[in-house]
This record gives sequence, C-alpha cells and structure tokens, in this order.
Amino acid sequence: MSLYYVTIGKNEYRVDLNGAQTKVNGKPLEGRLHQLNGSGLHMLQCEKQTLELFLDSQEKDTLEILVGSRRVLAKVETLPQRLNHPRTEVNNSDLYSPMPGLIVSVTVSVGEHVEQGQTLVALESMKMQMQLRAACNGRVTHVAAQPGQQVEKNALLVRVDSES
Amino acid sequence: MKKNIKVLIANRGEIALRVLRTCREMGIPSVAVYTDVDELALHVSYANEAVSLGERNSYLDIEKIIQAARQSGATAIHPGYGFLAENAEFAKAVEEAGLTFIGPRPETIALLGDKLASRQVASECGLPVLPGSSSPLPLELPLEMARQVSYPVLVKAAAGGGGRGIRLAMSAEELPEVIAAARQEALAAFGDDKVFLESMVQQARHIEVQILGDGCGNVLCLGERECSIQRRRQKLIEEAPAAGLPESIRTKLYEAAFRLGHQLNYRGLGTVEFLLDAQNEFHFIEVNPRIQVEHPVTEMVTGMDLVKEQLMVALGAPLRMLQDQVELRGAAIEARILAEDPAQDFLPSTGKISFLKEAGGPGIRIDSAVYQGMQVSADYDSLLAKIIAWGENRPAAIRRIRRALDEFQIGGLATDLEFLKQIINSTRFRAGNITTTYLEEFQPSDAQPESELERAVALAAALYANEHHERKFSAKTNALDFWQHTAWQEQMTGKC
Amino acid sequence: MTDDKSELQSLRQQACLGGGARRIEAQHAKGKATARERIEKLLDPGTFNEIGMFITHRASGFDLEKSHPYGDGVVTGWGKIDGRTVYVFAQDFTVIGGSVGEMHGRKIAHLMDLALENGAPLIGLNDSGGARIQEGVDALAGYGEIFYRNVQASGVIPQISVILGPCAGGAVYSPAITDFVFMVENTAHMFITGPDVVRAVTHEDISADDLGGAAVHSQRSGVAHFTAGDEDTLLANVRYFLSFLPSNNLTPTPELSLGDDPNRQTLELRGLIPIEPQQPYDILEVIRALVDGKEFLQVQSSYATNIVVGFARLNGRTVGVIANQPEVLAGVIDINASDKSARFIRFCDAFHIPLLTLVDTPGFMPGAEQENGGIIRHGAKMIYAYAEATVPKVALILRKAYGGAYIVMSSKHLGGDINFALPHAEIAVMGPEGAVNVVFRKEIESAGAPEQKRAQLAQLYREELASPLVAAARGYLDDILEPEECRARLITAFETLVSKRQAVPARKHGNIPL
Repeated sequence: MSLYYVTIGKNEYRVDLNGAQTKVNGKPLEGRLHQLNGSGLHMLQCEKQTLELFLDSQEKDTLEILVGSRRVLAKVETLPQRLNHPRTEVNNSDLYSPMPGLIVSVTVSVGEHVEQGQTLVALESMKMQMQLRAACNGRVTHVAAQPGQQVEKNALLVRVDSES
Repeated sequence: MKKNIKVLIANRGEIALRVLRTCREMGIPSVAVYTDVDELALHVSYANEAVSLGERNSYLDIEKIIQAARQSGATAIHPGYGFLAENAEFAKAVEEAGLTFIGPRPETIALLGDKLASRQVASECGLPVLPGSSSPLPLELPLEMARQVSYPVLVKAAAGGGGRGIRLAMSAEELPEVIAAARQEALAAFGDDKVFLESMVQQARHIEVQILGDGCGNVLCLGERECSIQRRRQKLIEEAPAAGLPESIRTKLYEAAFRLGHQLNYRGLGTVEFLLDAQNEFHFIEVNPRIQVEHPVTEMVTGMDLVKEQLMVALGAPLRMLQDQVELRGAAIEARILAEDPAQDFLPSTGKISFLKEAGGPGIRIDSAVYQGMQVSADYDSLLAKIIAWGENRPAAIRRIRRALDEFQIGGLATDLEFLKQIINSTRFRAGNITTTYLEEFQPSDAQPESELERAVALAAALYANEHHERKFSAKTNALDFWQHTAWQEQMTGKC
Repeated sequence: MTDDKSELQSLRQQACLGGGARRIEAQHAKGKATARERIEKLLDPGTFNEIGMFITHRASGFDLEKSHPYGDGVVTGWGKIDGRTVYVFAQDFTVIGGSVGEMHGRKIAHLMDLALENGAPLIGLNDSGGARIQEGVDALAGYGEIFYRNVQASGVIPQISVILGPCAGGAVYSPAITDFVFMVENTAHMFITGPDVVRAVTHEDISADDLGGAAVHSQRSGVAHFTAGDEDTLLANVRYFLSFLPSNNLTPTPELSLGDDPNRQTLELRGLIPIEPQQPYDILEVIRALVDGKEFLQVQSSYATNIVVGFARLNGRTVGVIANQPEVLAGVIDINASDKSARFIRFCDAFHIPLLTLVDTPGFMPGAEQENGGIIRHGAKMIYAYAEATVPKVALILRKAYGGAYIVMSSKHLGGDINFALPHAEIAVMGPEGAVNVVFRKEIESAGAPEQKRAQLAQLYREELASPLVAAARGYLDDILEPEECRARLITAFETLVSKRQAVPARKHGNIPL
C-alpha cells in the first residue's frame, strides 16, 4: 500500500509512492528521504532542492515536521484508513422516517444551523431508539415531527436546506 | 570588597542560568535552588551546588530560600526577576539573616512597590506623571467623582506592576464594577486590594530607561529600551534604542531617570518606565527595582554585563564608570519565544521538546534554559528562550533577527515563533511605527497556500510513514498441509 | 514484415495509440484515462505482459472493412498486484467506442481461459459503448463467450469488474455475475436500457446518472460494491481489496501482519455497547476494535446499511465479517440485508474465507412491504448460505438475538462452529415486552398496577428466559465472554478451526431460493 493522504493545515495532498515516479496530487515530484540521525533529523533530496527536516511521530497518525523554522502537524492516512470512513452520498437534505415508529424527541428548531451527522430526531421503533441524523450541513426550514407522534415510513420529519 | 562571596540564585529558568554564567566568569561559587518540577533543569547542574526546595511553589517561600542559603553557606542572594525579586519583605529577611541582597535596599523596594507612592516621589522630582489618583480609592466611589474622570481610565493595583493588576473602565457607569473586580484581583494576586485611577494614554509607546546606582550617590544611565510590542500587557519584542526617538526627548528621559535615581540614592539595577504619547510627551509610570527580562538588548548596545554590575555593587564597589564613558552603539532587538499557541488564543502549550536547534552566527545571542528532550510544563511562566540580535543600525538588527528566527527550530509543542516572524516582517514594525495597541489590531495569518515547499513536505511525510509502516505483506502464502488440503477437496462436491 | 527492429516498434506504438491522439485527448477531457494508463495504475510497475496486441476484427460491411485497429478495442494481458499474478482486460473506448465485436469478445474469453487455467484473479476494466452493432450476431457471440466463462470461473478465481465508463445493455451481465463491482462516480453508468430508449418507450425523462450512475447502484440497486470519486482512487481501492483475497480457491488468503497483538484486550467494548437495549451504537466501531489494526474494508457500505459486511484480518488472516448495525433500522433484517449477506457469505465460502458474525438484531422487518417483497424467500437465502457454508464460522452475540434472526445469524444450529455471547445478551423467541404481553396476559390484566407488573415480568423474563446462561446450559453457546477478552477469544477460535473438515453430501448443487 503506497498511497498516502497527507493533510497539512487546510491543504490535502495525495501522495502516490507506487510506480516509477512518485506523485503528489497527480503531479510528479521526485524525492528521496534520508535519515540523518536517530532523533528525527532527515534530508529530503528532490530534483530542485534539498530540504533538511525534522520528522517525529505523534499520536493519531500525526507527524510533527519542522522545516526551516516552520512547524507543521501533518496528518498522514493510508488508503485503508481512508476507506475506514466511507463517504456517504447525500441525495436529499430533508429527513424522512426510515420506518414506522414513535417520535421520542426533536432536538432542533426552525432556523437552526445543523452540521452533517448531527442528531435531528430520535425515533423509537422495534423497541429501539434511533438517532436520525442530518445528511449534510444546512439550515432547518421546517419541523414536521413532534414528540409523541406516530409516523409512517417515509414520513417527512424535518426539512433542511443544504448549504453548498 | 568582600571576599568569600558565594551567591545563591533564588530563581529558575533562563535568568537563573544568566546569573550563574556571570558568577562562573567571575569565579564566584554559586548555589542553585530548585523545586520538584525543576529537578532536571539546566540551572541545577550549571551551578556549583544545588539545594532542593520541595514543592513547586517553593520559589516564593522566603523561609526555605534563606534556609537553603544557610545550609549551603551562601553569602548573597540574587533574586532574578519575578518570584520574590520585588518583595521588600524578602529583601529585608535576607539582610536580617546577615546575607547580602543583590538588589536595591528593602526600603527602596517597598517604596517602589507601592505604585501610588512611586508616582508621588516621581512627581516630587519633577517627573511628568499621568493625571490620576494621589491616594488609594475609597471603598465607595461617589458617582459625581466618577463622572469627573475622563474615560477611558485605568484602574491599577497599588501593589501591582509589570503590567499586572490593571483594568480598563470605559465609562462612569462601568467604573464601580471595574474597581470592584480590580480590588478582588489585586487582593488575590498581591495581597493588597488598594487601587487607584490613572489616565490612559492612547497610542502610547512604552519606553524605559535603564539605570544603575551604587547606593553611594552615583547613578549611571545605560540607555533606553522600547517595549511597545505587548500582548495583553506582556512584552513580546523589545529593542534598544527606541526607534526614531527625537534626541531632545531622549535627553529629557535620561535626565528624568537620573533625577529619580539620585533622589532615591538608588542601589542596584533599576528600570524607569515611561509612556510616550502621540505628541511625544512622556509620562512616568513606575520603576522596576530589579533586572529585567529584556536586559540583553541594553547589554548588546553598551557592551556591558549588567549582572556583573549588580554583583559589583552588591560587593560594595562604587561605580567604575562615569556617565560619559557609557557608549551606546548600534541597535539590538530581542524576541521572546514562549510556550503559547497563537492558534488557540495563546493558551500555554506543554510537551516534551522533541527537537531543538538554536540560531547562531554573527550578532546573535540566545538566552535560554531549554534542551532537547526537556519536559515543558505549565507550572511556571511560558518563556522558553530569548533571541537577541545586534546590528550596526536598526535595519541591520532586523535583518539579523529575521535570519535567527528562520534558523531557530523547536518541536514538540506549539510556540509563538511563527507569530514573532510575522510581527518582525510587518511593515509597521520595520518602519518603527508601533504603539502598545499594535498587537491588538494585528492578525496572525495561519492560512498557508499550497506551495512547492508544502508539496515537498507532504512527500517527505508520506515517505517517512511508508518507512515506519507496520505492514508486512507477503505474497507467498503458507502451503496447506495434507489435512487441510483434504478438507478443501472434500468440500468441493465433485468438481475438481 | 521485415527484420528491421523499428518496423515492429512502430507497429507496437500504433497499437498503443489505440484510436489516435485526438480520441485520447477526448477521453482525458472527460476525466477518463486510457485503457493502458489504467492498467499501469492498477498493476505493479513494469509487470504488465500484453497479449493479443495485433488482433483485429474480420468483419465487413458498414464501412468496418476500412479500418482494422490493432487490439480491436480491448487491451488484455497479465501482470502483478503486490507481487501476485492477476489477469486484466481493459476496454479501450478510443477504438470504435470500446464496442464489443467477435474478436474483442474472443480476446477477453481467451484471457479468462488463461486466468482460470492458471488460478489467478480476473479483473475487467469496463469502458464500452456496448455491442458492435455492425457485427451483428457475432458481437452477441462475443458477449456470450464472456458470460459463460464468468460462470465457469465463479467460485474458482475471484472476478472483479471495474466500471470506468458506459456499460449498457447485455454487457452489464458480465459484471453482475462477477464477484465484486467497482464503479467510479460521474463517468460510469450501468443500465440494461439507456436513457434514450427509456425516453422513447416510456416517455420517462431521466439522466444517465439518475438511471444507472454510481449512486444508484451503490445505494439502491446493490449492484455496485465499491465507488470512488476518481479513477485513480478506485484503482488503488482494487489493489487494496485484493490484498484480502486468495488467488484461487485452492490457495489460502495472504497473511499480513499489522503488528496488532492477538491478545490485545478490548476494554473499549464495554463503553461502546450500551447495556440498555434501546440505545443504539455504531457496529463499525465494535468491528474496528476487534480486528487487526482497526482495518475493516466494508463492502456495499451504502446499501442495506442495516447489515454490515466486509473483510478484515484477525491475527494476520483474512476473515469475512457480517454484523447487524443497530444504528440503522434498529438492526432488523430485511430483504436487501438478506441478499447482501447471503451473497457475501457464499463468496467467502467459495474461497475458504472464515466467517465472523456479530449479532445484535431484534428480528426480521415486519410490514406489508417486506411481505409483498418476499422477505420469506430472501430471508431464506441467508439461512441457506450460512448452513451451506463449510468455512469456520464463529459468532458473537453482542446484545439482542430474537426469533428467526437468532437462528439465521450463524447460530450453532446452522452449523456455527463456535458461538459466544456477551453477558448482557438477550436470546429469546421475542423481546421481553412483546413476550410478557403474550405469555402473562392474564397476570398483567388482573394486576393492581399493570404497567408495573409488566415491567417486573419483563425483567424476570430477561433474567430467567432470555439470559445467555439458558442457551449456554444447552450448549448452544460455547462460552459467555467479557467484553475485554473478545478479540483474543475470537482469534483462538479461528486458529483452532483452521483445519476444519466437514463432509458435504454428494449432489450436483442445492436449490437455494433465489
């Protein structure tokens, strides 16, 4: 597995180490990394420049990198790690009931800004409480569900205007 | 001159190391003290001897420190800055114990520790003093009195100083609340809830004058420093001399400092602080009766060792220089590297210093007491290191400190290094056009665009991760043994 | 041809250009790579051996005889992925639209023969306009040969289809028969009848994406198993996916050490799985806690999300994981979930991949929609698949296992080899509330405080009837586990089952409800 996703600040880089030419975000970038000492000092030899860097593993797949006087925390993920969090496509920003059940609670109100994954409604069905979550970031424009209400499958519960 | 002097440094961190260095140069045996937190600190091993004080607040424990001095046979105590340096009781206790206190007389410290009394003395010496209270505020402030004050106004703790214990009131309505809060804070921080009002200077420049007195009537003025780059009243970047200061003002500042120094028959190092307003009028603020964090910039432009001067005065020697022998040459700038995270509103950062590479080269001085592998905690102040650059003139000093900041590398915790670079590189700083409110308007930019450098760094990160990855993929598979092979064959119904 | 080296070289170059520079540019402009570029991205560098480069069609009519492009629109050959041989074909959209004619079909068929003979995975990169109309029935013959071989190879070598462009009409049946379908978003489409014909016949106006794009097939139809936003990522996913699979059905899966201690205690399961049965939790977190290196490759992650299937490793060896997802539809089993798991189980069984089942389900989904849809037939598939499977089967009941769903989810009765449960598991014909209403109806009705009585009886039911000790007393459970020891115990269970032998009755094949 030689595909890595490196995130530095807000920028994301896809580094492909497979193949004759290493690539960063699709553009070829050659480089060889040499370790200079046992405490993290390295040298990166690229075609046009040679960089002296300090690299140190932190927790949670983060590398602390010192280059020049700049200190960055780079998050490095492998393909398997990326795949561990599958992206879900968003078809509809509105929330519908996935099955018949009883509304236990509604945790948002009209006008409220919601984040993707935020719980909007708690539904009880099959003797289980389910958190029904927002499919995307957006603003609540209409709340059709009330606690204590029985709903059918596919009943509209909350209208969300997606922000994109 | 007293012989058999042995100095105990009642402090820690970079200032302890600073004092110890001069002691070593002068051949004076030294004693360090340390708390449990500082067991592995550099100053402990640098001194000739070290005495453990115990729990982490012990640097403030007068008894323990004097006991440590007795135990080690020290004859003098250097208080450094912060902790007990401006504690008149401590100075008195030291002298009563028969030891030499390396600093001003206890009475002087007591006087200067009372900011109201200081204003009084300054005023009596003819120094311009900001409009404000001449006595502590009464517990109940009548509203008419509040309305008479011009706003915004500062509410200051009489026992405060060094930028601490100051609050701002914007209106008469707000004033009682602010006073109450200031009193509470003052009581908690300084043990004294006396507060007073002082007019606020807009667009002020913080300019301070270094004086040195021998307590025998001789006072030297060692030039001024500008410390206008402050964040929440904590200095971040200081320089000597003050940029673009008209000579006439400079002369007046020196004269004022002299007068005060003579009036107090000052003994030791002292800093007379002024605020310069937009009309270049200066106003006395306070005197700091101790060595200051930013003393290196004065050392760089004067070529003097201020700690040595302190020790000489403490040993009873009169000043060896005359004022006209004090030469001020070139310009020096100091930047403080703090363990604070600008991205998190300068929250103190902690961690182990994973990597440290200090700057060097011509005109660069680093005062620090950190080392690679050191554990930085939030127990004490956040100062990690001071970078000081000297140049023949201010632009040269700026070029130098910029180079030094580029060279300096510290990893393992967040610091203000990038932030300092941005300030030094800013147009206003280069133009010398700064006031104490500069940093309030200053926005640190943390967004870095994708660049060739960043792409290379991303490549390095991936190559590094690839080396250290635990995956051991083997294309060769273990052969099935006969049992397993038979099992598999059995399970395939008929089709082979 | 002369002896001159350069003549052969220039012919090769011509073949490699496919439909020519202009068409290659058009392909790139759409965000699509060429057939050879894709093969290069897929395989280990420098390992591709092409065959059939000089195959051309022999059709005439409709101007076809005017040009005989080398390769006939598909690039075939073998190479290596992570050092293991795979057979690849990549349709070349720049050559007559990648359409399948007689020789194109023959090329692929021959490649499939080689893959089958030599026991190596077959990967098809699909990007084709469909059957070459001008070749008539010869084009259909081309397809037929491919489908036949898909079936012959099914269960013998892993077959993967990667859809990187159009795949329409009859052509879709080949991917449908293969084991796993990978689709790229935006440029890949699969449908039997395209939007134009749909519009003409039913007057339904619908875009290619809405009819058969990656979203449709990954979320609604269940045809696609993996999707990605761009080709490079998708091909990287194929490589990663293959690292879990064996090369053929007579070879074990590759072992990969991730440095994860097989005795690692999984204390976090205590916090992850709530004791209150109504509280949901994310089963993915439980799976990640148990498997090596937190690596779990989910299959069909957007389809029938109430059940989770995928590959992971335990102590370096691949296992197939099937688990109910309490966060979605309370973890009930419905039609789609049954289909999804049954196919996955049968794939694992064909390739001797052991099965780990994590159970937390209240049962099958009730309702007219499910009944009309044939939940009876589809649920039966799951039972069939589990009972038919002779691979090691280890199950862990995390919380609920009610009714038929208890039996279905790899219970001992269906041939489960080792069955575990957590202390708070509830194994019963139905849940406590429902059960006491039926069994103790008279007691509750005649009670002074019926609600209290019901709650009391429900608690009694939980402790006496639904407790895992009852199942353990019968031997339906081999042990009750503390959350901390789950990973270690599962690993030792699989380890001992590695030499499992199970006789199967001699028959041509069973009759699984379809």
